[in-house]
Amino acid sequence: MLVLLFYLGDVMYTMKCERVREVAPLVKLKEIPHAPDYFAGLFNYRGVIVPVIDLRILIQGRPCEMRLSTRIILVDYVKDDNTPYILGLMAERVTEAVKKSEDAFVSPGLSMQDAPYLGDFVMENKEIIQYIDLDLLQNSFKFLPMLEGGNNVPDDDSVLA
Amino acid sequence: MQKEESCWKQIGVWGKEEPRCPKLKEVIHCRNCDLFTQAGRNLLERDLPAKYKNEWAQVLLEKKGEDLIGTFPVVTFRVEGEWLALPARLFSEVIDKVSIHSLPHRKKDVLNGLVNVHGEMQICVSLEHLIGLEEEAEDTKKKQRLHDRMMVVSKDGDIWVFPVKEIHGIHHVHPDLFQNVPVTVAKSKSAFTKEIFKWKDKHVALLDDELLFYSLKRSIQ
Repeated sequence: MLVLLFYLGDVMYTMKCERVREVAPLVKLKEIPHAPDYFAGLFNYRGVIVPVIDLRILIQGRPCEMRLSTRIILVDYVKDDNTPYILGLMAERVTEAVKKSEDAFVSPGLSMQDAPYLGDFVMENKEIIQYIDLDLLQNSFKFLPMLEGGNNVPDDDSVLA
Repeated sequence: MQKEESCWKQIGVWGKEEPRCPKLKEVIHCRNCDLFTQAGRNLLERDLPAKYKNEWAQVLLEKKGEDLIGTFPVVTFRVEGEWLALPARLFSEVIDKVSIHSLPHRKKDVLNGLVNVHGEMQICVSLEHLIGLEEEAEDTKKKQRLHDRMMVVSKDGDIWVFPVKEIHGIHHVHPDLFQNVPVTVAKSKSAFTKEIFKWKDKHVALLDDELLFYSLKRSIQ
């Protein structure tokens, strides 16, 4: 399975690629007043308004540095009414994707109440990388439309619709 | 410090300085070296250039055009004044022009003679004779002699070599973009032409490979 590697500050994180639609460069975002601080803004992604979350603020409380390697990871979700929904996640040094076997993911048996999306760990070059569970991540944003949880990855037809 | 930063240009594959980088033995090429990868990554750690965000915002708001599905690869090449194409799967390689050993008691016609390809004798044929293309004018000939190459194709186990004046390379065409072969086209050239497609400002004739190789086989017997 392909996983995307990226950094938030000095810490490496990873996420599964199966939901990742595209990794886009940083764009000018439309800020929304009174939004939570981790809400970076909105942008027009090929005709669809996509909200962007600054993952570094969400997890570490500091905004992403504005560098060339800081990118927006576009993730596919499915809404309750089966329509596709795209969410942007801003992270730093999004430069690599590696193949990992399913059993490379190990669970330490911990679960943090405030950040349930920080899930299992992957070992890469003896380093421990925490993995961000995209299914659980969506539940942390109350302003988003209701998204279906679970493991349903949108199939290609619904994305193109 | 500068020297260390761009070692690939001094003691690596893009440099000539001695002593050579000791790591080269292990990694063969600088692009396999961690140092080189890291240097590339560091380029991305720069601050955003002015207008970068606006430019990308413009790019991303455009809807993606869908690529045509069902294209197939052809190799386009020039024989005399005509641009021709054959399905890419037939091509085994392109070689520099080598001398042709003519065969005694054979009229110099479609069969040009024999050529040496990697130590093996292969039959060299002339497509212009088979298809019936006129030799191009002398002045344009001179200018483009540089591009002369030979193409090696294999069809059903037979290997054929033929000289061409120019090779463009592999080009993907879609069946919907084919234009009809004009019925008024004279000469046998049209018989070998299956389809015509436009490439840049030129019309390229996609040859009927079945017929072409069948005729080649017949004509050398």
